[in-house]
Amino acid sequence: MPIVGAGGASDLLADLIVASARGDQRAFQRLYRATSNTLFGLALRMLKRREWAEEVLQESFVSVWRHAARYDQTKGAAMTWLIRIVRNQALDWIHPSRPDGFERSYARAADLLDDDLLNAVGDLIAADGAEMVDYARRADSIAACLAALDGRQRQSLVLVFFHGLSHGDLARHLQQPLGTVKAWVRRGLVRLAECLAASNPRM
Amino acid sequence: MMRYENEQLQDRLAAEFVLGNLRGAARSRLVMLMRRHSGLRCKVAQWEERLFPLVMRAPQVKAPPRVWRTIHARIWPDAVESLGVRAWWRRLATGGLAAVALAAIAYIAVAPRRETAFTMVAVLSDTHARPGILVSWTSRQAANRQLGMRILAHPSMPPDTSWQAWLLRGQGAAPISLGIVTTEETQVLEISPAAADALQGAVSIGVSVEAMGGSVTGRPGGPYVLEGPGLRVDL
Repeated sequence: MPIVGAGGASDLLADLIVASARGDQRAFQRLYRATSNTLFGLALRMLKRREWAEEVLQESFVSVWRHAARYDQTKGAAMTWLIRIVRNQALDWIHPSRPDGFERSYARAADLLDDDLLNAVGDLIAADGAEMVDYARRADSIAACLAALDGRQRQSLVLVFFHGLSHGDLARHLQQPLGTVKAWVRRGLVRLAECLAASNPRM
Repeated sequence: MMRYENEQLQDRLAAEFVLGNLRGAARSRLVMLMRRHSGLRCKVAQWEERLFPLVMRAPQVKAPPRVWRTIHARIWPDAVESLGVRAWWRRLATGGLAAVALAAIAYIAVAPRRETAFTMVAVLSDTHARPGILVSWTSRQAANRQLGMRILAHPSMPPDTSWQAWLLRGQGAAPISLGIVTTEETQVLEISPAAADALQGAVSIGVSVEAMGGSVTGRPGGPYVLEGPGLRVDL
């Protein structure tokens, strides 16, 4: 199993999580400062509404504080753990059974072809710690592989991953049969994995 | 029945899960399966490493300071004192209600709250000063005519009776019904427009025992078994 970003002396984020687990309030605040902009950006992209993204960020960090002891440094990068928490919160939030419903603004998702994801030079280098820089570098190779995909596959993956669309949402949004978009997602994932394996055997 | 041992299928499920395509029950089921199948956990971790770093390429957005303030208030409730609820805190604490006050703060903090200007909280106690119900509402909830309620202790109730909550306004003004309290531990009371209008000037909240379905006269039919003052908390 690939373990990337763990084990170096520069795992500041991991150290901050471990310190938070011991009840270190300053470490936790530093962790928030170092990662909240990235994680808020993620939540906002998935949820589209600021107040929802704020709630998700809030819930996520309360959860990080309460479950910091569960973070296992040997099982993956700190950033992966944090992103997992935020994504789980966000996906719960957009669950269609929510009483306030979730009329997603497909039009807005359509406008975002996410070229910024493919073209951006990670604007993250100023962030707190080499671990995040390493993580951002990995994003570059993933973006390169994503860019190499068939356009429809790429668009499908991005819409699901970043905009929280379900298969059904995707079919409606792209006006294609469900089976077709499922196949795009599936094939996109397979090709992405192949490309990453070729460029970096660890992935 | 799906064969979760099948490695290809595991990989496929893991990929869809990490991508975010599994929702609701399907998502929960996979989380359950991950606990039992280390192979599946491994696949999920692999896909997280493949997809999650992409998050770093999305634009960062600065979260407003209130997010941190709320997180802070939720995980270090003691520190809330410095944010301006000292008097309220003391008032509760001196009554031996420190634990309830903590619960109150925690409860307020988890109550849905957007663009909150203030929060009101009332700890309703019985005649022996034992807390029974916690009522709270934000200015926003009040505007939506909703009150949050949490049952702290279930009392014994005669059969075929209901609990009814009342807004007590003092100075001889008639109490206004807030509705029937159910046995749900946490609940939301949908209140009438009249009650919502009167919330501002409320002195306290009381609960009376009524015949099943509530008072038919519009007035409490008996003494308040639980009562407590409404206190404003600015977080």
